[in-house]
Amino acid sequence: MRALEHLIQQKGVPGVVEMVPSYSALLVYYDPLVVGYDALCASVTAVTRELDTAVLPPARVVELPCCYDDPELAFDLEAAAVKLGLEPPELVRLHAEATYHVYFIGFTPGLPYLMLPERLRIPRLDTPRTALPPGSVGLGGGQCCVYSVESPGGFWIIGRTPLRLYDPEVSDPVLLQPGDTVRFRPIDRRTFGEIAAAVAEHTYRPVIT
Amino acid sequence: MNVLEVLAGGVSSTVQDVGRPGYLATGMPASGPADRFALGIANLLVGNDPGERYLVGRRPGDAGIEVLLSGLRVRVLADTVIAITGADLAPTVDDRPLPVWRAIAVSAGAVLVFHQARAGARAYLAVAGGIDVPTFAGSRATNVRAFVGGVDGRALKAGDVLRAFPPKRGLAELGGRRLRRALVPVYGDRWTVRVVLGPQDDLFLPESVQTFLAYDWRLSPTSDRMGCRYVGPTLEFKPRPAYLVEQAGSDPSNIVDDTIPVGGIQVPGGVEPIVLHVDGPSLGGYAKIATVISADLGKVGQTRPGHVTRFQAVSTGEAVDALRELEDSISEANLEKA
Repeated sequence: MRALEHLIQQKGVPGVVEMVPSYSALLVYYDPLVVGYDALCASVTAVTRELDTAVLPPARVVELPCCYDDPELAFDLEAAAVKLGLEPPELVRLHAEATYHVYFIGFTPGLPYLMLPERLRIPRLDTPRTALPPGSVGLGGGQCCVYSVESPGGFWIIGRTPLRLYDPEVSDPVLLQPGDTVRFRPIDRRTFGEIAAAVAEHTYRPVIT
Repeated sequence: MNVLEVLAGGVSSTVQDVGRPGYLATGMPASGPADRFALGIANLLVGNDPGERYLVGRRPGDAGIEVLLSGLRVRVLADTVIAITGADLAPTVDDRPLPVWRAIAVSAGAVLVFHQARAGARAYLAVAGGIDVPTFAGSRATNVRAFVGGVDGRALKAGDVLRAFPPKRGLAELGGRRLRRALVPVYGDRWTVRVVLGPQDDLFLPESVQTFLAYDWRLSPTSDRMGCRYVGPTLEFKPRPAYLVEQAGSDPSNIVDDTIPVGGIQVPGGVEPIVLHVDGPSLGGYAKIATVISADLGKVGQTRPGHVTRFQAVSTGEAVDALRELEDSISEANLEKA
């Protein structure tokens, strides 16, 4: 889907206004007063023939500091570990060792869709919580979620990042992009507080390579 | 120039222009008016820019106020011309009834009140020059979920003072203009909303697709600019392929998370179809039986809780024709001098 989106962008297919990728579909918004539905479908179909040879731009690696070792921030860590039959430190190690591909961004502004390593797959909570703080890092089903704004959610919260994945106060409000690679770096509560303070003052520079 | 002081915000009143398309892939919905036609005409009546096409345009035009149901009270701070369109919320100026769908001169000190919904759900208040609030990503549209646009990214509340840009045309020239009578919409308590079936209608039992199109659905009170929920019979799903059960979740309505077009109709658990509207999410994990055509999103926005909706399937071609007709109708040529 990313490759198709990239190709459509590069070719400048007429009438295409914006696109939203997901795992198995690419939503294309078009201006029907510029291009007809059938003509658009023909253009997109033509582009799909070049998919095999498409070259995507290289992925950025974005580091998300994450505090796992505080029961106030990581309030489901113990319970999730029990559910998975792991010791909490083992769960943290597995989560922080993995690399995560950002498949797409959505649901709320800046929220990335990441796939979990097999061993950390866990059924979602039976009763979703009504309000999770932004930055909460959760596990649910096959996905890892980092909440970008306060929102309801049914994920097990195992940590929190002090970074803002969505910050309407800055000119580029969304931190992550589809195609990025995300790594979580374990931090203690004190470091969490320091980074959070720097983020609030807009002096923190995320580590992006 | 300060033009309006909010005395009471009412149920939910937000500053809106045509919206901010282009950011859906970052999870930011386009926002904009729940009823494109009504805001467009309100702007035209007072000489403002009605903006470019809904959901896909690049020019959001001037901003007005979308007023949900009732309760907004504002004091006019400078002589100007206003227009109220959309729902009839029994508006008054200094306790005198205020006609809708026409431009009206008002004086500094006058108090406008939206009392109660008599027809429709959302009224639009435009002021000559347009509301002057900072833009975010090129648009003034309020998005309360992303905290951007309008006044501090929230609904209006008592104490807010709104500025307007200078009027683009002389006030004397604007007063008394109105929408041609034949074009003034009639809002009843029964609506027909056109849909294109899909993208996942094939996951539902064919009988349930028929039920969806034949039933008189009632709008639930738990509806807003994100989603409008309809109460009626349960819709049933076909037995699902193994990969969906494994990857998507235990409920038969679950799909692998997928994009949601504006107007997409999710049916979580098969109960209460939800039309995702202009502030709705861009992605979600529930099957969508159909998608409301862009031209009829305004009908959804004008439906009051408890009122009845019948969904009618049309082709993509008909949907495009309807959109063209809607956009063409927001035209200076459709105004007349009273």
